[in-house]
Amino acid sequence: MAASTAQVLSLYRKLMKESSKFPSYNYRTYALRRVQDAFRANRSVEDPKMVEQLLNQGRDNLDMIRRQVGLPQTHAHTHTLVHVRTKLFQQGLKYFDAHSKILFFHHNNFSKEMFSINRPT
Amino acid sequence: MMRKTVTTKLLGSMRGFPSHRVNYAVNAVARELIKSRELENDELRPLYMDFQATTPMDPRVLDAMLPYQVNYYGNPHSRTHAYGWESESAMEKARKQVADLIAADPREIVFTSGATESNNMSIKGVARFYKSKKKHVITTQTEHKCVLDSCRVLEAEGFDITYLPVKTNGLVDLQLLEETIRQDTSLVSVMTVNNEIGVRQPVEDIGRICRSRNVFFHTDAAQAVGKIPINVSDWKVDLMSISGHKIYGPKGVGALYVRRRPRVRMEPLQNGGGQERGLRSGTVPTPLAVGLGAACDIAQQELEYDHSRVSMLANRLVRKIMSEIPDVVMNGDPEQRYPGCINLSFAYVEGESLLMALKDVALSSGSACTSASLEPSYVLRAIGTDEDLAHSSIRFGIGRFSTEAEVDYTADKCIQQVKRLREMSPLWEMVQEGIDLKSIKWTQH
Repeated sequence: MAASTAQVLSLYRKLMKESSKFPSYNYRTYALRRVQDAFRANRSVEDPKMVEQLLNQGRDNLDMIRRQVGLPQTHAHTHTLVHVRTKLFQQGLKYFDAHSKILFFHHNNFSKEMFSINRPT
Repeated sequence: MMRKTVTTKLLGSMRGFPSHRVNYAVNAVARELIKSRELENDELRPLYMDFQATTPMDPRVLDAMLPYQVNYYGNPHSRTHAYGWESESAMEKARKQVADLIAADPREIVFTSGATESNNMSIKGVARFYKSKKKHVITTQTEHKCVLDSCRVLEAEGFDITYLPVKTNGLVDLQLLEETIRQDTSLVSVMTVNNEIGVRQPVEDIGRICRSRNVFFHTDAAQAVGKIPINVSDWKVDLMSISGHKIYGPKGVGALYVRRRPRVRMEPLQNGGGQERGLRSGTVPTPLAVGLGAACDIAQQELEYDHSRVSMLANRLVRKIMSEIPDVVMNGDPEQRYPGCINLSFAYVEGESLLMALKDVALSSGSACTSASLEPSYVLRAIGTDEDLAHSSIRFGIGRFSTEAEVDYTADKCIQQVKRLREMSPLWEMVQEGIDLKSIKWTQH
């Protein structure tokens, strides 16, 4: 059975969708990036046997990602700082430094000291 | 209500401010308190940039291990039933995967509990076996602590150990090595890639020298396996230590490559039922071995991709840092290195305070096993770094799962904190004024 473009694209879409479900930032970005790079690298493969083999590898990887994503995630939630910072930035907060605990307000320069907060011990 | 009293305590009464500003402040403080709770619950975790200490398990490795943790739990040495047979076949498959990564024969691989055990086994085992005729062992000053400690134990047993010095770029002097090999040298141990400064030793040349002088060559390749292409036949290596948790595999497992032709004889450290060719008795932990095999298999497939990506990220980090702040030194040879391990010394900044300032990035100064002591790393001392520069060194580790965003954040944060710490440093002020620090006579109090 010759593999069609539609099959390849469908597999790609499924892989990207499943990969985006990883709760861990590092695993998620790695999976998305790796899938994309692997499909790009094999873009010009002509031999149908090779294509079929690669597609089977892709399907095995899809199953693996489904299993890993479906693992119970009670302790696996890891929001790293980069992840949170991009979210906050999107919400319109200009800069939030979790460690030095100073919130910068865009407009009031004098209130920088006003709102510096010591971490409650 | 509670939120308001806590906020009032933190901010003061906020009298005279317009109400929308007060609300904003109260909400901001509330969000912040939530964030600090999150930090306490470990929900906001630092970025991981310490891939030399350990690596997260690849999801594919975990996927390979799970069936052997849950369902196929048999002892691989049970000969009489299916549980044993399936466990044994999984273990042998893993052995082949490890062997293929280093171009060895599967019969030459021994599963151990990690690179530390492999190092101990090879150094003590080989030295003790040939004790009657050969009493000399050569190693370097930049080896891992387990190698140096094993050599120390051998010294107490009456062996002669030479700790070769390294050049300022971290590489071994081949001329010196040739001169040091004696008639009664049994073993030379030099690590392939250093875990603190990332320097890659000229293993092929050392192997050639050792083979020509009929001396066994052991290399601790824990940081090199799966990251650079390895061929034990081309390199003429007789013993090689492999660690599982450095190549995105499970912790608690490693392997030792022991050459069969020409045969390397060694005294086993761990005696028992004769498993693993009698060299390491004990039940082989099937899930861990399967994990190690899967990790090696994945590493072989991903070697080029990972290497190019890690090099790109490492260049990005180093260029960014070095272009923004002056007086940064990279320890170790700039060419003969594994790109993912970067050791930078920031002059006029104290390393510990910089690490504390970079609290939201997981970094290390020196290796994990020596970071508890307050002394600067012996590796940096061996390559001749000044005392003050040795104290201000940080090791950045980049690996398969690092992203551009993490590297950029680390670089920015590092630059910002180094600038801040240098502002506070009187030495930096003096350097800015043009005073030569070496010419200062410090008074005694």
